[in-house]
Amino acid sequence: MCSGIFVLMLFASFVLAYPTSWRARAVGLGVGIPALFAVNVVRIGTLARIVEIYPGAFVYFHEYVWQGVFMVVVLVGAIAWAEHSE
Amino acid sequence: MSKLRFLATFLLFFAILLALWNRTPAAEWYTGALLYAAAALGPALHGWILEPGAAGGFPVWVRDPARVDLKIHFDALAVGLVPLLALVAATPGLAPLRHLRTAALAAVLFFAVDVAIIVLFPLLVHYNNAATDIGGTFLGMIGFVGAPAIIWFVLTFPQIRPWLPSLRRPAALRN
Repeated sequence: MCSGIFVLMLFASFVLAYPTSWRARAVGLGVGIPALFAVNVVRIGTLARIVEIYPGAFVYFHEYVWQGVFMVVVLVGAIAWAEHSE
Repeated sequence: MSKLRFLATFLLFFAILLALWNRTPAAEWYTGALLYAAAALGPALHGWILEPGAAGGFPVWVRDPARVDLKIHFDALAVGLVPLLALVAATPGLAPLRHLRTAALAAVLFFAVDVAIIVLFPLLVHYNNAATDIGGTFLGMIGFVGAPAIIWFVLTFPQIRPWLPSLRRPAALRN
């Protein structure tokens, strides 16, 4: 769960369910999943750095800050894709 | 409203709510209410009884002779409420009263999802097979990740529909 795979699944579900062409869906998945993967790498990198320099803040950033930030990145990305998918 | 402004508004509300969440006993209250509701519903729905765990331990679902520790990170489960309320607060096109009503309904729906996860927990863990594995993973995805986004999307669909070209109403249907 903490790998971020569920967030990618949520994004992919939205793209596949959205009523548009298969070409637009392929573009959405082809661009969106690597982009979210990159954001996730940043998330894991910052969490690793936090553990190193300020371990007491790890839970806060892991369970609180990044959960909300990652979620809104996915939502805004999905909406931006939908807006330009036609 | 642009998506950038929506994002900025969301982050502002998210930061404020997160600070409130951490500086008040809101998480403990929420978890307490979850366990209370699950303990009331569980015996009626499937016969398992929720008992408090040992000091500092997890609560336990019991149906003699079976026992299932309720090994859930309650903080992680509960904190989904914060981005959900921030999403509602950042949604454009809602009057103040409508914002409050939508936020209240969102919180109730999110609570119901969390109660469902806790109530179903002993069935998914004790009767372990491929179906319960998949069901449990799906519920985990919904509870820990998907619920805030899905509930927000459903409750504010009329407001965010203009952002989704394929879902806009045809001009003839608009008033």
